Amino acid sequence: MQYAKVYFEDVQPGDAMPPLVKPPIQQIQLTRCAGASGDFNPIHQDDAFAKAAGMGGVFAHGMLSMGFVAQSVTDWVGAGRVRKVAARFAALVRPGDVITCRGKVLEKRPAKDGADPHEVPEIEIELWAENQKGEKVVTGRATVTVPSRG
Amino acid sequence: MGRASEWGDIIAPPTFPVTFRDENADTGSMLRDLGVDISRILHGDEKAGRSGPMAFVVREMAVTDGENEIVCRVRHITVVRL
Repeated sequence: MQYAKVYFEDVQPGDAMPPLVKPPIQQIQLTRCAGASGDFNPIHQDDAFAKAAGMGGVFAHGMLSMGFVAQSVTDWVGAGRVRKVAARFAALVRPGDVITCRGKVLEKRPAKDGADPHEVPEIEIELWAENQKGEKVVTGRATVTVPSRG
Repeated sequence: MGRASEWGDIIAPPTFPVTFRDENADTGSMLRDLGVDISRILHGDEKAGRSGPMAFVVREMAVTDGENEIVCRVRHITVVRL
């Protein structure tokens, strides 16, 4: 696990976030994901069930992909910096898929002058994750707060 | 490591609130009460479904700490293929 430090002054709109490449999705990982989240929907575990449901086979929990995307952010800016993270699940992720999480800085908002200690500099990041075919499986956004060098 | 950090203790990762499940009011039981087949649940916020008509179940949850301060808000949209 990395706790990288990113300073507000060093980030510019348009900057790319370092990509996070995850190992191929494994069925046992989906079972662990069910245990960790409490989402035991058999559609993520039981291939016959998933096929009967018309999904063509098991697929990963959306929250697994969202976890990857959130990890790509915390790997970059450090733990404890995420104010908001949103994800839309655009395509199914299946066992064997290799997911790469990417991001781009959209906007920087300096802290406003004022007495409110909760006013901190914020960075808005566009996020997405793609599979080995380059198809977007997640699109999202994050708001993070990073320290100022000042 | 957690104690030595600026937060003074270990902290949860951003998506950890997914584990805060109220078994009496989670999506599964809510949807079962609504008569929805759980094999038809997807997650997302796509409005024009590729696979036909869809319904959206929007849940919002505020997470509070011991002092009743809100520490996070969770918004969850479930897509149900009809």
